[in-house]
Amino acid sequence: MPLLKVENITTTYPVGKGWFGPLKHLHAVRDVSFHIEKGETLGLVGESGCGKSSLGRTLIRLEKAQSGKAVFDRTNIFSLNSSELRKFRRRFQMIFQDPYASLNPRMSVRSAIDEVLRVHSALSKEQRERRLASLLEMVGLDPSHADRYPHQFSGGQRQRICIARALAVEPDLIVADEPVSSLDVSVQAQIINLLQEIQNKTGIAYLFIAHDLAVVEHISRRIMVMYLGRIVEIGESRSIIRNPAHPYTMALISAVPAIDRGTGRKRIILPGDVPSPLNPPKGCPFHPRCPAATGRCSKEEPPLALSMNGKEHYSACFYRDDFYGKMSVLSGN
Amino acid sequence: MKEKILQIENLSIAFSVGGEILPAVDSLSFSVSKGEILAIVGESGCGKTVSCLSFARLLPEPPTIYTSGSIIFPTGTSAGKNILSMSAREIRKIRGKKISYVFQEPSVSLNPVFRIYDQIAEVICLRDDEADDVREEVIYLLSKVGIPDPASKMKAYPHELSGGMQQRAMIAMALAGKPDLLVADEPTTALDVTIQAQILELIKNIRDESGMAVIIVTHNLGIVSEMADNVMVMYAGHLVEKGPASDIAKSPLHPYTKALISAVPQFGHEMEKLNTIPGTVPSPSKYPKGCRFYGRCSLADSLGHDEKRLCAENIPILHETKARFCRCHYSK
Repeated sequence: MPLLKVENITTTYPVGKGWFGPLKHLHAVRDVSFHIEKGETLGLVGESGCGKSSLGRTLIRLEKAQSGKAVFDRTNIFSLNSSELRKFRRRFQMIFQDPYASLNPRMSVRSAIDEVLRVHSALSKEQRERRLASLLEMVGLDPSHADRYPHQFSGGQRQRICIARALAVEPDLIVADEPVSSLDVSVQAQIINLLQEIQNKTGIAYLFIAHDLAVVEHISRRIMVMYLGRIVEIGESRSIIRNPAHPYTMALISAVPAIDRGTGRKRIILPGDVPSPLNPPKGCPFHPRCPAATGRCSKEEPPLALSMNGKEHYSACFYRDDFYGKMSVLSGN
Repeated sequence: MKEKILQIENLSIAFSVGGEILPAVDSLSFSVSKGEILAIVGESGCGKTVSCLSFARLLPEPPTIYTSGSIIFPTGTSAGKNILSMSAREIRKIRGKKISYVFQEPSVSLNPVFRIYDQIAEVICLRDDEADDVREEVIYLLSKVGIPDPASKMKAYPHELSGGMQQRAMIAMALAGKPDLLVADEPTTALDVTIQAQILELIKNIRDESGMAVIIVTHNLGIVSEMADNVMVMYAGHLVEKGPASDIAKSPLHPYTKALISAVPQFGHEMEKLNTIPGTVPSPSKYPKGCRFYGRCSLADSLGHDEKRLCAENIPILHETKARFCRCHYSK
């Protein structure tokens, strides 16, 4: 049984239209279904505004879902009341992009983590103290620095503090929203390795949200690609990267500047920008920018369906099986 | 060998903060030729942006002190002068006209209360106060950077454009001065990958058409090997490695460059673990006496006691081997 099973989630934000105009709704996440297994990393990629952060926030109920279900270990998260939710929150935690903004500048590391332990566990003061030291050690920080404040740490160290705080309640799932995007490459590598070590030790699952495909490919077992609030492709990392079955994924892959790629490779340059989610195009959301679009794409919306490119590999494109073997980015042609 | 356009000789920049002199860039020497794309790579705080801002004297003085060196622009002509000894009036003739900049965050660089048209037209009028077809030229520039329907888009305010469109408008503005050198400081860091690909392609095409030189500052090594002809790697204010982009990507010499390349996940290669560089870049007030990378260097860890002393005590010089430069005692 999967750890988290998400069915048909839709998240909308009301958007005001002047004093007397009708209230519009922005569909940030539209009819999204997927699951996360115990102990796996599911990568979530997409451009800004595609709804990846909204999806992550909806799952841990920082945003309210308009409809749908998220079954976490037999419990539907969306039907919990606030006191049940508070107890349940220790099963899933979140790490944000900007570690400085997510730490209280007036709380030392000790008080930030101790607060979590006080609220969520029945440990005594000495036990909490021991737990704090072991948490800091786990994320590679010196326990003797526990009385320092966030501004006394570097960006990478602050992200370690956020990770320690998320781990304090021993969650089964961490939603990591762009956890390494604001860090330098050498520090980014440290944090990615740390997240993987923790997973090996504790069997925690991650929903790893990022826009950097290379990072997502490195850390994830499976990858999910979003465009304008919908999942356009989901499958095992290897299969997605080597045999993408959606033209948007192909364009994303070809746009990644790589250090050692062959020179004969053709880059797919997508025309235009992502359309506004307030006014999404009819039919397939990607068709106005798609190099392979046909008349059918502007009328019907393709459903997410199994593709022959790999097992458990789904794509929301009518022509998903026509792309097999056409995209060999990795061999350089 | 192409004609040189910018020549930096032994440039050192420091900041005077609270009575203390903090070195930001130390004895930097390099040159850029016409039509060349030079990439400057390094982590935050290594001096890439400071060096770039110095080319048009954009750093506030004080606290900035140019402790040594010269910036000759345009090199090779009788008009070539040392930018560091120019008067404010002379620099104004270069800034935004001969040397243009594109910065990281377009929404911060554009003035929010003026229409795109006014901001670009201002550059054109400053370049040439007798320009008559200003409107036509703005439309031409906007269409050149790939903004659809430029005649109506130029009436937009910056907030009405997407990030990619704003960056295109910034590039149009930089091109309006008809520069000989475009300095792009992390031009795509704030943009999505598909938009990044568009912008990089655009900069390359403009270079091919106009033959201007481009200096691109980035921390993304992928961009370097796809865009640049030559690369400079900086670490803690020092130039540590320099050479053709393809050579450095394939066979980096300096331990820092090696570590930097292996710290990035390689697309399509499965790796168990990423290489990390222990610690962080030292701050200017705590620069070590010898090699500034000593302490984080994996090569130094494998050395004997006496060999290590050389790294700890002496700053290595920039050695040249076959058109490649490397600042290391042991890796040459």
